[in-house]
Amino acid sequence: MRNVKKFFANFREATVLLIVLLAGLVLSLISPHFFTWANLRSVLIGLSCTAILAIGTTIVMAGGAIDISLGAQLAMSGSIVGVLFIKGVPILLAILIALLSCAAVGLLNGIIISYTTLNPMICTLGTQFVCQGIANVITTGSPQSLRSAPEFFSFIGKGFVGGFFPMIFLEFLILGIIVDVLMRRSSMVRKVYYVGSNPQAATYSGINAKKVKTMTFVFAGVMAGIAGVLTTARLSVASPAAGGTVTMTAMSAAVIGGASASGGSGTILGTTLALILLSLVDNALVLMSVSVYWQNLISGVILLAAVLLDYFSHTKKG
Amino acid sequence: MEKSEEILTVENLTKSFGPVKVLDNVQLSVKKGEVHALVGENGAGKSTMMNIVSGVYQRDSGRICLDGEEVNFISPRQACMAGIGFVHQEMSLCPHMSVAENVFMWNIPTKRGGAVDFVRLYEETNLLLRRFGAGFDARTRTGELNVAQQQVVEIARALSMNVKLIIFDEPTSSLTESETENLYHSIEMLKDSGVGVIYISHRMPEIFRICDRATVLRDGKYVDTLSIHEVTPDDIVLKMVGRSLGDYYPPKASVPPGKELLRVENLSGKRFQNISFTLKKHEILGFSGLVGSGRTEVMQALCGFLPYTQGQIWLEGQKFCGKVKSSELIRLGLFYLTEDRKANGLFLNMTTRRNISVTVLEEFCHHGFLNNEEEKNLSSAMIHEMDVRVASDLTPAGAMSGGNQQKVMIAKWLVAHPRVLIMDEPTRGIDVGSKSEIHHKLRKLSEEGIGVIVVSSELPEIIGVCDRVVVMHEGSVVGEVVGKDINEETLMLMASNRKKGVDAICEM
Repeated sequence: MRNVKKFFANFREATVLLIVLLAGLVLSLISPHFFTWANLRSVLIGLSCTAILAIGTTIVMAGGAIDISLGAQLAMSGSIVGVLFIKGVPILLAILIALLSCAAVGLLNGIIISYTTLNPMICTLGTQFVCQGIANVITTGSPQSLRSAPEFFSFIGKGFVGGFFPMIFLEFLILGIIVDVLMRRSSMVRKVYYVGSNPQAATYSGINAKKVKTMTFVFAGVMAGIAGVLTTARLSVASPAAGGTVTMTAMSAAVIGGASASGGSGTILGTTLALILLSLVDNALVLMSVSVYWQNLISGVILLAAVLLDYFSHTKKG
Repeated sequence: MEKSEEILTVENLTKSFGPVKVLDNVQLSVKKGEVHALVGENGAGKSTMMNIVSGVYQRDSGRICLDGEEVNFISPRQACMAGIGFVHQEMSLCPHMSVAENVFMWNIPTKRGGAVDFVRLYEETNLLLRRFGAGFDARTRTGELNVAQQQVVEIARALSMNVKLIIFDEPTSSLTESETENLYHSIEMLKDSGVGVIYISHRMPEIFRICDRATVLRDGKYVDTLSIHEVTPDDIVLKMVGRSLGDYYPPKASVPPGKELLRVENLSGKRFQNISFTLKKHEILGFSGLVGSGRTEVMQALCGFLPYTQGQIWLEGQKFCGKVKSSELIRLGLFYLTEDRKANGLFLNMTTRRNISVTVLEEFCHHGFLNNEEEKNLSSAMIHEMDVRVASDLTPAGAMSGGNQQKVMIAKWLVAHPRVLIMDEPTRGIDVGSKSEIHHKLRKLSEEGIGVIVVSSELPEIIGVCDRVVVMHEGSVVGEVVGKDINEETLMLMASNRKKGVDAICEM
């Protein structure tokens, strides 16, 4: 029993991977449609944008904060790139402006949170409405269709590499692997964990904690921006509602994958595996023709189970 | 059952936290109208014992009797209702509420229908406050009071509950002399009214001034109960440490001080003025003074964590003035080890390895990538050197004992090539063994040519470890003592800023 506890405590990613594999096995037994490339491919395409945004969520949480404006930043970025393109701005410039806008929002979040004692939740609650508002204003509240999107833009959103591998998932994979490796091995990103674990101790150890924390928000903003651009590219529609429940899904995935609300932990691998798990559950419901209204309920139960398991495997007796 | 003279008896009390036995079969008995000192070093188990008596923790085994009846409190509220008052070291008051609301926190007087009876609330509080000659009103916002006044509020709260037993946990640690005098007066009054008083303190003069008996604990075990009138302070200290102080502390510097490592001139800032001192090679410099005398603030300003308005600093001949970044000073080898290792020293949920490597990430970072192997070797070497007792270097820092945590704190700075090491309360709350090991380590570092400054509230530590001591009082340096002059009497007198003889303390 103690070993089991230890395993769950120390190898979060392995645990989640195990559950993902188990879920996959069960699903392929239940439904003959599950283990087909068409089905898996649609699952991967579906989770890619959320996964890119969740990279940002994970970094912010590792740094000891929380950012609930990321979904709205995604909507803002997607709307900016779409509307600018429709208005005749060259697509590359439009993408750049979208990403810079999100970076600016991230910088604002970061500066406010690091240099005042404002609670991250409250601050990003505010910027969430600001970003959503910008998205609503520039799209006049309704989805804007991109009729003649350039081939490059369609390709990054809905293209297939070699005719079968979804480009959008490949993009996430590249970003995810780079950031995961950086979080494990780069001294710069290691500082994020230190700051998240104990900002005072980090300061006393010679780390500029405020700067590091600010940068996590900027980085998360850029990730949300990329996710927004890709969402618009994939659907050929700039929708102000694209943010939807992405923020909360990403946050759940980060927590299930090992991030802690009190900072100092979390990896991209863990978050991604958890997100895959959540997506598989949704997929299973579809395959089993269960009403999609069950999705939230089941995701919620998984989240609670994960954090409770974490709590009990870390608390000692006495 | 006939009511005994003893208000509280504790027998065979045992308590463990995880694998660590913090109390092993301890006992205590307090009589009505008695002031009973509970003494022992940090970590001896005093606070744990009192926390069990007052219902904060639950015992593993043993018997506690209050006024002749066995009790088993499962919450502080229950203990409070039964008549046990606790005046905490850290105030447990709500700063945003009025004094009266704090005093009657647990039984606010109400009118019929449940509305708060403010008239009675304020009247009764003022009545209590007047008994102690408090110069503030029941309507005052508690946060506006100073520490001594807040303590009065805590005492008043205990009295409002009709206490039978009241516990003071190092009540004088942040009081001035006259405030301490008022406190003694309050305690006398409590005593006269037949209340039992438990007084936790390590200040011998205080204990000999107001206590009747003293119970000594050491490493979680009961040592003895002594009648104060029949013993000397040395007897008690001896029982506390269990050996004479001679072999407990490392030898003093064997070589004369060498060249100057650090010079500070006229450093002034918020809460300290005109601080000047020097630190030389091969010596351990102590900073003594009461809590709140500005020692910590001076060190933090020196290391760039607090601003200062004027003054100059020379670190190995290099001059600094004005705003200097703390990271720059760290790069030059001026390190500050915080007094509160849990709040701002360690990364409790991270591994020991990462706690040690934090200061030198760049050293095993090649082309931006960390070399795990080098990091592992470094931390293993340091764990060995500091004799940190830990299962593996992947154990989280939060899972270690205080002594081991402190060793990790030192280790993390040793790897970063220190020139001057400033240790604020280097052995607070750790066991006697680790304490001694750390003291010996400090001496060794000083012999190796690293400048060491020890800031401490514990006089025995200052006396046992330092070669030269700077004494501070209310933000200023009141003097410096060397060699044989470093003794409890001189330091206490200087810390309270009195130049008269010892009698002065007693006559107060």
